[in-house]
Amino acid sequence: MNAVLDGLSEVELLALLPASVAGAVKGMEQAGLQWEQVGATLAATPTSGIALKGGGRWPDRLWESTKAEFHVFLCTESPNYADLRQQWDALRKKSSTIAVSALSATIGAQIGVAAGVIAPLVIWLALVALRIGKEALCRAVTQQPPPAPGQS
Amino acid sequence: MALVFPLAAGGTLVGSAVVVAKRKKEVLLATSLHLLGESATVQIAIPPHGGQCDLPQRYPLVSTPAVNATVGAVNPFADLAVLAFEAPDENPLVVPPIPEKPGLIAVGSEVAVLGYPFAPLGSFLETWTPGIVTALAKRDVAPGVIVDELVLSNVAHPGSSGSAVIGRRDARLYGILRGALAPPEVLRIGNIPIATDTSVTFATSSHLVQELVEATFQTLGVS
Repeated sequence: MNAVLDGLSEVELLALLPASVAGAVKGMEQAGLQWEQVGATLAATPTSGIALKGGGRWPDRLWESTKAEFHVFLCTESPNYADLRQQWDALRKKSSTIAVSALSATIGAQIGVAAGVIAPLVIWLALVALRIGKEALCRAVTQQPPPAPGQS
Repeated sequence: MALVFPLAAGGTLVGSAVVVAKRKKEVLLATSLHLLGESATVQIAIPPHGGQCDLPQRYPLVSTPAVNATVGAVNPFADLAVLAFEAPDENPLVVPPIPEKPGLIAVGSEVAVLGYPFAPLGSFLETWTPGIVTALAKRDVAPGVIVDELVLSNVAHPGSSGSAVIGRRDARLYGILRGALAPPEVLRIGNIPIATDTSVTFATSSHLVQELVEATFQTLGVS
């Protein structure tokens, strides 16, 4: 999967985020947050600050789960992503939007969350992988403890 | 009047979603992102009154038709999501005007909150609740990130999230309700406050909805 990131560009990936989200990510980076902190904030902010109303519950470990699955896709040959890996080149040639949407959908299916909900996290992880390199991202995620069983 | 529908995640009613756009057959609705966290599937329930709160509603309903929706685009900082589903025809729907920037409703203005406040209890009853804008807030949600909100004097219930905040003078969609005040000193179990002031509610400014609408149409390939 060395070529997984080929053809993706930082500009194109940033353009996949709504402008206000891209601006907020930029703001956090300018404020000195590391990529891990940016990802964790992206995953946690919907629940911040007030007593939320409505049924359902926001997953506590959304960032960790998404990151772990992104790692499985990018850094391993796991059969969970075999179909996607086969189609990846064709998807990427169509557009980054389609490729990242497909990756979000596959990761979402693994962790039980709608693709659109985790799309900003997946885009952010792809951006980080482009910036620091696949090997560095794989190493960084491997060195962290995996999510506890049953937690997503 | 805006069209507001009950929202289900994973087959369970969780809150409300308001129609914000329709192009060709694609209908887009805005809601609170936090409602969608632990479910791979999202449905929009279609009760007999069609989301028109000014019509009489049969009550209680045991079930009602529903359509599957996809999550088109989200803004986690603003707790906003735009959902999409395909309508059977291209007939236009009532869509409230959405302000292009925050702060276009004055403090003291009267609003109506439209939604399904008891949705998590299985209720399909849509209600119109009066409220007043008591503050225009800029919430520091993270270093370098500020989100515009409306603070309302209005009573929130368990299913109020995703409700539409409509200006009573101009029928514009000014916000998407997301929660109630939890004073910092209240007793908590983990992150969950066990005492909240439900008469002070918070809504995300709706001007952020428009870019999610365009992003969703782009993803769907609808121009």
